Amino acid sequence: MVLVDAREMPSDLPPVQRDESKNPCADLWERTRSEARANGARDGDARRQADVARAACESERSVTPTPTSFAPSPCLGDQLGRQAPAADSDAVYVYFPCGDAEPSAAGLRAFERSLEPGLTVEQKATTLVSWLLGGPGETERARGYLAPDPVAAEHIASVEWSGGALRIDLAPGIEQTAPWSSATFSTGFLAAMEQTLFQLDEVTTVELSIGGECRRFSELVEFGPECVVSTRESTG
Amino acid sequence: MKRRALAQAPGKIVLGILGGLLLALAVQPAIAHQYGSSSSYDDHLGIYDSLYWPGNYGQAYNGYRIFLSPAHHWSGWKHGCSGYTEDLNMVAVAQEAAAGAGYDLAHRGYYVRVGAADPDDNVRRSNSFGTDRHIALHSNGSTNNGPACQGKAGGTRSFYYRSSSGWESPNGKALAEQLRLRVGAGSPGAPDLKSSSRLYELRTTSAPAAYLEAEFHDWAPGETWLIDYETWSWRIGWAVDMHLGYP
Ligand SMILES: [Zn+2]
Ligand SMILES: [Zn+2]
Repeated sequence: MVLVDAREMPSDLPPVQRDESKNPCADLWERTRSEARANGARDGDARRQADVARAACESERSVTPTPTSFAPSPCLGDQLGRQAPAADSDAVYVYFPCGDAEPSAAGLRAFERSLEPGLTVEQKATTLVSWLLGGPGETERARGYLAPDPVAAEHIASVEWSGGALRIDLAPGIEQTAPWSSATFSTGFLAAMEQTLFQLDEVTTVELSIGGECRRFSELVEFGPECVVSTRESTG
Repeated sequence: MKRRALAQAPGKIVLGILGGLLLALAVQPAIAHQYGSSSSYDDHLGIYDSLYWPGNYGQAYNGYRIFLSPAHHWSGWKHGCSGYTEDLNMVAVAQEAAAGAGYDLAHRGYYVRVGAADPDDNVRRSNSFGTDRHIALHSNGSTNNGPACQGKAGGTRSFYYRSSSGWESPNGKALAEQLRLRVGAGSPGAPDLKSSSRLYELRTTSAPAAYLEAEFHDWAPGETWLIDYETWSWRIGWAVDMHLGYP
């Protein structure tokens, strides 16, 4: 329901009380701009000078925080994604993003697992999804891999496969198992999921839902009200 | 009311809305619903986008319209260290970047609209506003339990649109790169430029768009910096000015 429109904000909002000690360079911006204009500069050039002056002042006066660098995640040293195993092998790979080093398939790391022989497509897919949601082991998590809480693996409601389309329905409550709405997490997880599930030759598309509603999953990950359908072609 | 107080007193604001204090709220930024779209909060009754016309701030209009779309998650509020709430803090960031203290977008001559609705509604409004550049404003998380403050990552992440076949929005990428450079240089962690084919506000806006994850709210230095938005929100205006060549 859209009842909302826009309102012009008055220019006479009550003055915001500011902690001047935190903004020792803010006045410099205003001063630089008006001095440059008084000297005949066009406003754009005056603003450019003001920005440069303020940024320099802020790093000098330590308004800009001292950069904290994370020690590189140990997982960065792990082997990258590998070739899919031979079709007659029971070995498969489950992929996890190493931190947010690169949320694309190329940056995922592969973990070898083996599927029991003789499983149906649905059973194989269910196993892969439970590994994806369960995340890598504690040792590997400590190496910096991003994954939902292990309890997420208990939220698989159903996995259906027909005509190449794989539909994974997750149980409500899955929302609380990961920072799903952060762009770093959602893009990393989706890339890992696609890389993992498309190892199954029988799978051409993957759709995720929560409580039977695909919209509920796609809105959770900020991808929009339409269903998220991954296709083999668009993965890589 | 101090904007800082606004960001830290969510209960008060929600009560204000419920209590029908619409007049008082008319000059306050709009707040996203706490419990997700499926809740009764979703009618957004009495919540308005904010428009900032540069003429009201004594500035000449430079010909560009900017739409700021602060975090308003379909699935409800997201939290980080020390009681941080992304959906409240990023509204405050948007207001500060739009018309804060003089070095903001309106004072730079931009006509600014700050969206108050769900992302799909915000995109519709942005598209009908004739937006030249659209910026979604968020903070990031790497671990499930944000309030436990045990994040594994830090730094600004600035996203632009890249299709699955590899097409990139040139202006979206250039805008995201400026946000990475200007906002990222002010944030405590190491900044990075990222792409996505999926994020709704990157793939459905008519205008070139960027999706800013300003810092990680489940990492203590990131969260401390995020709530100190008065010191860094001007960098959004700086990024836009750099990207558009100081019109
Ligand atoms: Zn809403
Ligand atoms: Zn967000």
